Amino acid sequence: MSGPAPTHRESDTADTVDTGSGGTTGRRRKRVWPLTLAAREGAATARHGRWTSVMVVIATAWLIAAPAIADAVGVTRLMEAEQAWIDAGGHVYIATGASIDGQQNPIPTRVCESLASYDGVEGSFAVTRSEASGTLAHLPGGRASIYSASAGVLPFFQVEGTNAGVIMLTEGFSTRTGVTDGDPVTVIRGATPDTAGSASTILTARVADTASIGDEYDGALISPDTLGPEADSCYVRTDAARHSAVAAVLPSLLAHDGRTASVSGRLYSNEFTVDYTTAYEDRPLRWLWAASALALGLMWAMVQWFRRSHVAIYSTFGMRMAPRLIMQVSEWAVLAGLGLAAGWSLGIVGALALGARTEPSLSIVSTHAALTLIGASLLVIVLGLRPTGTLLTALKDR
Amino acid sequence: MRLTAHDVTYTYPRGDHQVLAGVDFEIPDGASAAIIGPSGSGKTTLLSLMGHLLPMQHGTIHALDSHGREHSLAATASWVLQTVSLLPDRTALDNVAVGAYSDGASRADARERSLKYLAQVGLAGREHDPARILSGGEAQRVAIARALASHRPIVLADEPTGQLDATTSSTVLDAMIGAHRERTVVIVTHDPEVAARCDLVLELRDGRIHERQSAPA
Repeated sequence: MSGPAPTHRESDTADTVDTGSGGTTGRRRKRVWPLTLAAREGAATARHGRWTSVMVVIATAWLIAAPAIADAVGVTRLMEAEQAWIDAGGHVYIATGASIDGQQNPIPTRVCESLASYDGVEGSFAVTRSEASGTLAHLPGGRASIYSASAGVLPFFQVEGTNAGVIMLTEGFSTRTGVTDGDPVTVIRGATPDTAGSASTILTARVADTASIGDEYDGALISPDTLGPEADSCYVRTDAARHSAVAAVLPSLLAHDGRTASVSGRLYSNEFTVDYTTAYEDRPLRWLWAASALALGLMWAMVQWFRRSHVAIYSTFGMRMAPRLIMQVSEWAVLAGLGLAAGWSLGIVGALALGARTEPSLSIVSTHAALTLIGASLLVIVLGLRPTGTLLTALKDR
Repeated sequence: MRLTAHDVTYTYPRGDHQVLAGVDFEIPDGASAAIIGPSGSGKTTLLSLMGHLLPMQHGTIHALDSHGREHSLAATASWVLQTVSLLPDRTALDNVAVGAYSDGASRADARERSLKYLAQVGLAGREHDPARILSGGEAQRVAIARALASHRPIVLADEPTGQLDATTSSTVLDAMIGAHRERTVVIVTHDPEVAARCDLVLELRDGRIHERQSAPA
């Protein structure tokens, strides 16, 4: 042995090596496995990975696409159900005057009509049964009841034009009678069934979808410009966000003679009916990205375990944690990028093919893809930070 | 790089058999040494202790440069294992380049080195073959080329010619030991012909170096 036992120098295992074989002067330190080289090596591994790479890309694509398709279709179904519920009057309130001693208080027409200008109110109109009746050219001798409504009834049902000279009828009534938009309707005011034509006016028919207020007016005519200062009831349609808030203020706003109005939803609801906002927020499929990310992370862990000897080769030849992590993340980025493109396309096409709407499909598939990839990438990074063995661990005493 | 071992003793934790019992040796800078001995005599254990694969229980092993400074064997030694381990989907050239990269070689330099050492182990023209299609002997030669391309001053080899025929084995030993003695080589082998090519033969028996001899010229 020569000289005292020297001590181990940690710098010898650093990420750099000496170049040259001369003395201490003139020596350069070269960086071992610079990060760009490690990144290139990772990309090359992805490129040459054959079935492993194909498997990762396909798994990534499907784990992005399949749950996203299911969620997009589910959300579309929910939206359709909500739209049907809204179309049936889910956001419509009916306000009537308080009933006192068998007498019902009226609703102030002007207040009801003005509600449409409030935030959260999409439309409102007041309505009351009139004494007039109408005859239709297609039904000689037949008569229909006429309801007088405030002018807001036209925008409430998205009927274009002014309220002057028009009279509305329901789609069902139009179908049964053959009266279409623009047909003349003769309105007889102050008439009895036996006396016709004493004070008649010819108005133009406007057909409207009145499903949101139910079928109470099916078979009747609604005259939008003949309502007085008081009405039997007031219909108010709100937006989804302020449905409850509007309901809270309607009784006092529509009070008459100091007595609050009675307000009820057009559709019956209780704790068992669907709350679409909650149903959307609480849908389990929205969290499937976490399961997808976990599955991808587990798959990546399996790939790394099966290829641990490959990683060991790099470790044996000086690749330490930072470049090893960059190498693995680079390989993952190439494969996951391809999987993302394929999965996103597959998700959009699949969702649309299964009847999902375009807008939620784009949003849901993109969100699911992004969250899945972020989650899986975090797992990939965590896996890359684990210490690895070198080829020397393969040595066994013989 | 000079290798010295002093009083190296090792007992596997689960056994009472002392595999190495006070081993001493010195391998001069640029020399080649063969460690021989019967199966179970502790050859690979000694090699593993040199590479810090196993924790040293007693004694010391040092790698010292010409100025007497110590260097870590983990950073200065490259390995050739009995079990060949290559990147199967990468080319022979890519596999050898991994060794060059560990020396901080640029891509161009790594390619140049890889071609040179592949040629030295008799694999010129096979550089673009994927490692998975190489035979066992060819793969072993790629692993040797990879170790040489690392330009580390010490090569520790465990049965490096076990899968090679005599002619190829000779070619590979030429490449490893080198005409210019530019690296210190330690080879664990059962093959007397391989041992005969080395400057020193360290025979392990009963946990001790029983024979230290210079190989016949």
